[in-house]
Amino acid sequence: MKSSKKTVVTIALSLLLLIMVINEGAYAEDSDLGSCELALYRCLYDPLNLGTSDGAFHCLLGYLFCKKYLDRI
Amino acid sequence: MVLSTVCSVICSAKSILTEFEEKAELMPAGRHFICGGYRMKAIRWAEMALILLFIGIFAISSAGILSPDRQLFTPLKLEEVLSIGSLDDDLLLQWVGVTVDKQGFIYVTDSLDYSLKKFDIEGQLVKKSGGRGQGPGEFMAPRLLDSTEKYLYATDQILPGILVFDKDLNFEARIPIQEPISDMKILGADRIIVVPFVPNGPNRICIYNREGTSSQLFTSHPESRGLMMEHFSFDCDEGMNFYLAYTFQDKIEKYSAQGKKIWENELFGAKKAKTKEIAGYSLPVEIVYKDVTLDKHGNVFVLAGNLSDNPGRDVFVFDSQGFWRTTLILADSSHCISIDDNGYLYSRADAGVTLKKYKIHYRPALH
Repeated sequence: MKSSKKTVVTIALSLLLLIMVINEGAYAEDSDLGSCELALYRCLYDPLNLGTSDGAFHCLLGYLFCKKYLDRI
Repeated sequence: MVLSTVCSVICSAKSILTEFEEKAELMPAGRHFICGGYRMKAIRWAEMALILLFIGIFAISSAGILSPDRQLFTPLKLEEVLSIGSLDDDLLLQWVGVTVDKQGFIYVTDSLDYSLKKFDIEGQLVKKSGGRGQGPGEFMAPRLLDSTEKYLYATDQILPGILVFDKDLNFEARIPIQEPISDMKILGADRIIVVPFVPNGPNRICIYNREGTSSQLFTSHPESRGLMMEHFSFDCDEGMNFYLAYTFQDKIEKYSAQGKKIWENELFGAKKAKTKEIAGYSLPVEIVYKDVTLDKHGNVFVLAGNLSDNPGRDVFVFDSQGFWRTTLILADSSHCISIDDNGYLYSRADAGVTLKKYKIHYRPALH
């Protein structure tokens, strides 16, 4: 029982680590994203937002604010 | 009506000239006022000149140059009269929303210290309220601001609803609106015009009362042109005509309160904003129009974005019928423009650390 719990926790942590590593790798590849676009990218791939429509909604709302109010043009 | 009048005049002129031409053909050569072979050419030249004259009059009157009404209250230039905040102080950290009351007090939301601030006509800080939190009068991400004679109305990007404060910045109430608010205009306590944030789909303009009950006024477009593409800023006049400036499309529109489009303008040849693929979403990355506001004379001021010669600084001014009047240039790039009832324009500088106040100078009235 204890060992199966340990296994599940280990797998979950590994998956989380994998997602973070993939994300970091992805940022490095896409170096021509602006600051707002990069922030959106990170927001969408945040584990709390990943794959949820609510999360995507709030990320897009934040992107709009960033483009309008923060992005220097 | 003008077009039909001009057309009938041109037709009458042509028939008169044709009649003259026919009579000239029948007259003995010696009685022509122009010698020999130049007779027909002169008639043709006169005909062309008359037609061009009337076309010119029509074009000029359409452009509004001759119309005395359209010459009045054309903004000529901006004169900076006040600057609040700088890189050397912390009066303003990153102001977002601004509104001005009839007495000239300036109110702003400041997103970096989660506050609502009040400045007097000299730019001195009078009061500050708010703070980070979800309690009464607190903010998580303060944004838009508008006012009536008695109250201030502020939105928050994270917390739902509209927060209502009195002019001393005391929290009064929260109007329960569940959808995040993209833009708003307060016409009265029970006439709160709101555009909810809709990332994918047509945008709609709704009117709320103080209880949070809404009814939809109209939808800007039945079809969406892509993610975020239908987003716009708006303002409305006393006749409840709406002026929409699209954030990611080259389009400025005027609608009646019933949702009938009155006119549409584009300043950049309907050029499309650039898009990028971000995490599987195709999103616009260039802003076409940043904001729109009206002055008390009905002039429409549109702050342009990336596609303009001076991005974030060019302010295109139209009259209420959509004719371009002039272009003003701000000292620094801004995210918004606001005009008070006394003819002053407010905009941002130094990336939100400074609020600039400009006097709008208008063309002198004709005598």
